[in-house]
Amino acid sequence: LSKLARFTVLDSLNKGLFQAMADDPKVILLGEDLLDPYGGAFKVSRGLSSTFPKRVWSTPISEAGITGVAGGMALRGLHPVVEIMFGDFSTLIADQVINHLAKFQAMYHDQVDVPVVIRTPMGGRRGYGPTHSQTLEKFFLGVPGLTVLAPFHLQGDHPLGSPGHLLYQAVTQHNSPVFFIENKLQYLLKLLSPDDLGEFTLINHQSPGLQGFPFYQLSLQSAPPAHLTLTAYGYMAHLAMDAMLRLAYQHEVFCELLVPTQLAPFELAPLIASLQNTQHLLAIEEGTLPLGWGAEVLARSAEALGAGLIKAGRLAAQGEVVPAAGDLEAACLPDVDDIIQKVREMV
Amino acid sequence: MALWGAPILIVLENNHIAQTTPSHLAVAGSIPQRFEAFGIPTTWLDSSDVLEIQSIARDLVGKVRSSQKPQTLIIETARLGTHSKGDDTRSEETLEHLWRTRDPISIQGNRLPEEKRNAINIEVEEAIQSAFHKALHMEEGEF
Repeated sequence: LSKLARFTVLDSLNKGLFQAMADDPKVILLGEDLLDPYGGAFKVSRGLSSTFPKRVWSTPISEAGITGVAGGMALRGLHPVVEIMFGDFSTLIADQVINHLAKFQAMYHDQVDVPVVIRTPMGGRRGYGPTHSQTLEKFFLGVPGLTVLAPFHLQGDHPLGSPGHLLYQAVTQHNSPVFFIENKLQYLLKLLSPDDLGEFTLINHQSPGLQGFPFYQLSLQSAPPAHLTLTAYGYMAHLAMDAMLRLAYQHEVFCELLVPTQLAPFELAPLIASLQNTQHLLAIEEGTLPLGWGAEVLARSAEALGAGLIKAGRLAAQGEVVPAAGDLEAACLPDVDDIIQKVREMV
Repeated sequence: MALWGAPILIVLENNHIAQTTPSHLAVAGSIPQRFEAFGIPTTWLDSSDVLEIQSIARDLVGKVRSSQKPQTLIIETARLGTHSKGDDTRSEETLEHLWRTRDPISIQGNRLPEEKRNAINIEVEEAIQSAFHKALHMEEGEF
């Protein structure tokens, strides 16, 4: 376990793919520039083409084509995994995913399985500019037939770690299309071991609507009852944990954090349970604020709790194009200071 | 497809019209060259005759199977009615001419003895009526 503790999210995802390919000969990887020694733009696919040379296909630059081919492979019994090099390019697969892959099961009266996983890194803070820094998953949330997942950087009790295990589950155990949202800075995070969790208490909620994908709750040990419930996923969950500690130590404001890994279908029971105690909600995301994930979280919470929800807020990227210049980009995207300031305004 | 050796026969039926837009307003350059640029050989055929199409398509399917590579069959054809409902802007004369010269059922039917043609027509009509009747009388749960 001490060795595991040094794993990053990137290592964990890479191992998840290795394990999936080793255990399931039907898994095929498709994507741009996947072959070693390059091993994909962010190295999640590194080493796979050397170990499984016939099952890793470096493709032409044609995201819609790759995704369509994967849909055909899945209909005929394979388990394709598509890597879209940057999340920004997911606009190019929207038609294949929304109008085809996600609809096959309903349109063929559940006589077919469509076990496709499409993985892609979203997010900014790397100075990559307007077309390589976006967080676009909100456009894919709420599509009937499409599951959207985002990993959390937890070691957990699984040898692959939580991100790798989530990916492994999606690739080997799910029979309908999955859009798997990674994040460029999240790749670098060390997986949280039980020691790293330190003052956090972790609960993994399960409910039938979650299809076996975890919904984590993090609270502070020996703290007074939480004043406010934070919810965030992916890299923003990491920033929210930092903010929780600083809010507790520097401002004596206590929060608990709810981290879904299944963004769609939308299943919020654990969050609602937390809100019944705190009655205060802040939803945090890296996508743009208008009409986003947080808006739906607030709407659903308000529907569930009515007057029991005293105050609710959202923190997200400014509704503007992500700038390339570092200081402007930082001002555009929500960070730990923004979370602390927003929470202090609310309690 | 050619790059990965996909054994597929692509059949492009060129009816020269979109919903309402004639293809000369929408297509520049050559349709066969679009395929050839991707390494996919094309065969061109101007026909609404099922026997002629079958003979050429059978050869092409054989080629696809033996080469394990894609082929394209481009068939010049005609749209005999609307795309959807009331959206055909072509003249009565044009449509009438197309029905007279390009209707594949007439072309094939005229090869058959009248007695056999009538028997087939009756059989088809009965099958359609029977399906229609069955659908009309279905309970909602049976859809």
